[in-house]
Amino acid sequence: MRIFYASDVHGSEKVFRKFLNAGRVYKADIIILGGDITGKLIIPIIKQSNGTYTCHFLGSNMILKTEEERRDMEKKIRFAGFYPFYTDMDEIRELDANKKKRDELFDELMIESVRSWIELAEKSIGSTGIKCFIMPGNDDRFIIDSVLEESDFIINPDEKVMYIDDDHEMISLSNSNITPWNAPRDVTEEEIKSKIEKMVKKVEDMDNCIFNFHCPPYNSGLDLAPKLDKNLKPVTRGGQFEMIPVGSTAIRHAIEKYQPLLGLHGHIHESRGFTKIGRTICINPGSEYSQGFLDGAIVNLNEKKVLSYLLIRG
Amino acid sequence: MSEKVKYFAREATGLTRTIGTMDALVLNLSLMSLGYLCVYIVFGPATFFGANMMVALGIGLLINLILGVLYYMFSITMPRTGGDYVFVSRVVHPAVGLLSNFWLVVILLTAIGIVSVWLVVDGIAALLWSLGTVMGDAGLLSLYSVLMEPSIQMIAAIIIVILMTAVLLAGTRTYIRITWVLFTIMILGMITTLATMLIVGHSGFVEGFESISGTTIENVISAARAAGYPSGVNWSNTSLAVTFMMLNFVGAFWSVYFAGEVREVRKTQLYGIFGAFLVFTVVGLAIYGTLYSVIGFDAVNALAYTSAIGDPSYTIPVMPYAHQLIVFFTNNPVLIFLAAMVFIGSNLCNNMCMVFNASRMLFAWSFDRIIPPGFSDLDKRFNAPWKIILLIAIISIISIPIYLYTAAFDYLMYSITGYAIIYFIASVAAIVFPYTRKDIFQDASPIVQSKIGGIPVISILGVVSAIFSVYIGYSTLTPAYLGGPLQAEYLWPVLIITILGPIIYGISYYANKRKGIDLNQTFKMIPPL
Repeated sequence: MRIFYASDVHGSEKVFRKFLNAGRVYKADIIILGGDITGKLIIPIIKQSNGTYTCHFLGSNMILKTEEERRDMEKKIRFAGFYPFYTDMDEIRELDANKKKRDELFDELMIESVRSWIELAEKSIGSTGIKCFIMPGNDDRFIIDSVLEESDFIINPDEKVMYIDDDHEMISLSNSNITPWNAPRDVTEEEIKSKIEKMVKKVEDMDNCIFNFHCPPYNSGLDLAPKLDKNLKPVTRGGQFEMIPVGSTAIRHAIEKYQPLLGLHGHIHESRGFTKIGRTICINPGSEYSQGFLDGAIVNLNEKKVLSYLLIRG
Repeated sequence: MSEKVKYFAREATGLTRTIGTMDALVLNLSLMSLGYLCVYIVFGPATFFGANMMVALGIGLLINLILGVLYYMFSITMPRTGGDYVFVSRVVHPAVGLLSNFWLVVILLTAIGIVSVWLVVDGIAALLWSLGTVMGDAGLLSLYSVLMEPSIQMIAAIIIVILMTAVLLAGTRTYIRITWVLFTIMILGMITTLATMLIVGHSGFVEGFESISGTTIENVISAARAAGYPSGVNWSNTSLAVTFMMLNFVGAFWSVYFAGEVREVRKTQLYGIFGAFLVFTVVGLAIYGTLYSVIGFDAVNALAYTSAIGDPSYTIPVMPYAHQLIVFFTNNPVLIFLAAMVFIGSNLCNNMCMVFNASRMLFAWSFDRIIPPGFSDLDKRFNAPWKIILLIAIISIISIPIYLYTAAFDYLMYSITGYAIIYFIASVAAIVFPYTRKDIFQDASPIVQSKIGGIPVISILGVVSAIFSVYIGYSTLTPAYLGGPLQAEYLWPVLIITILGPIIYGISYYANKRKGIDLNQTFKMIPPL
């Protein structure tokens, strides 16, 4: 059996489309998207009094005169992982002044985007026989869970124990330990431990189990991120960012204690790599969604073990 | 206020890369090795008679600027650690990508030990001689003699490799911090040395030279003439002397090899690469301009030639490298020490950067399973690829006695040929890139996509740099460069190194295929649905 795993596409439609195609390209039986699927920015495309539209994208101010230019810009914004939003200056002022309205707009655009992605997945790979698991991550609001549940094809494995083929069970967790951003699914280590324990009890064969946890294990080399000060600015020493392990201790302990077959993780984009914790091979393929690259891992498994794995950038 | 709203952001995880603009600039300058400008003032005219190194520097800048633009374009299009290994693999084929990169790794791995020996001989020993001479200290001169023993050089060079290994094992932050300190001392040394030369002037040099060498600079010039060395500039040889500048300028765009670790890749690579070109050229022009104006063009070339051929008119035991000429200008030990630090600091920055870059390249190979993935294990405390760093140290230590006691590394003479091969391949990749990888090209930045007369600029630059690469390759095979006719037995290593990369890739490809892994997939761009 071959798994293709990727994570942290953060709203980039281009990378998501690559992810959907990865199953065919790499001849995978199962594709797993391990969390953080929604975007972080709304890019207003503002209607002007002269009939043109303007927007600020990647450091440049754009004037969009034609329908074709608008469509092209919309596509670029979606591919980069942002949400295009047609509006006017009155609405911009209103949104700027009202956080609640901004949050509601984010919800609306996220739902619309995730729903369109699901439709795309069903249409493009729904009949190929490839199983597709898409899980939220700590950055994703809870509102998208119900959208993921709407599909008969996409499986949201979050906090579930399930057989992904005849031999391998998988338990999944979208949460991470507390981050400086207080993301929607940040929880305490105790909560992570409790959720894992609850799932582990239902696992029939731990030797063949896969831990699909968005957050990587603490101090595994898969969880190094810049240390931040109280203003969320990276701390530098000697002109370099000070890198510290930020993974979950509860996840580390769970892997050390239960020794599953495989750990699939995301969350820390720059900590791309693989490591072994006891017998468990843990992988974080990293993420370069902002560059339009799909970072992923191909993992070949037989009934009892991990045969091989390869990190790709496509 | 609302009119200034450009976007709406929500609170979410935001993560960054680690190498900034100034780091990239200093690391590039470390690889360029400003101190070696001091050495090429001897190598250049001694090899290519009558070469004007200021002009060679200018020509080298033009050629390498084209390569720099090419590598910059590839780097911002595919900002991955690995440099040409990545983009040649993606645009042409992974086996060809490894051909290029294997050459580079071989050059680095063999150079680290050799450069450590240079540090002992032309850095530490030369400093001892200079200090011993001006201070009349027999103890220092005796230490100098001890260091000139090959066995002692071997031990000292091994100690240098061990110390560098310890720094690299202590992690990137420690390494960059030490590089910054050395770089600062080196720049300080450069300024004080050139200022001293300009203040003391030609008459002071003539007097100092007579006092220490026991002969006159006119005698040295006459001896060079008698041995057949021409006076004035030879423009044809000046163009060939560009080969030495290649060794420096190639460092300007080495930040592409760790592009995956730089933040704000477009800005960082822009300033890192072209800032390095600018700083290096300014410093080079300052060094060569000072030497030519204070000592004299013919005098500099005569010193280079007579020292290189061991002519009796050259009575000084150390080579007349730019930083060592300070001894003829002043007897102040502090100024002499600072001048030596130009070479010592530069040499160490350069050498540590070679270990750093070689470790990144081998790490990338291991990560991509071309060599066993176990090599990419990182030390938990310092996040350093310790197995690879130790492997590099072992190879470097083994290379030291081979260099000192055998002629096995004579093929290194052809290392610039290797660079020419690497850059020719990169140039070909640039030519075909817009046509063979339309998917990547169409997504590239507007600069990369720019066209002249309907032809992509990157392809045009590729053609020009391919021509230059062939020219540089040709220059390294001329009798003037080789000091004699082309010898077939030296070309064998060039051929072997060239084909070894693709062979290793082939072996690795089939070994991984048996485990169900297709290595070609590593570099495959997935088209979005």
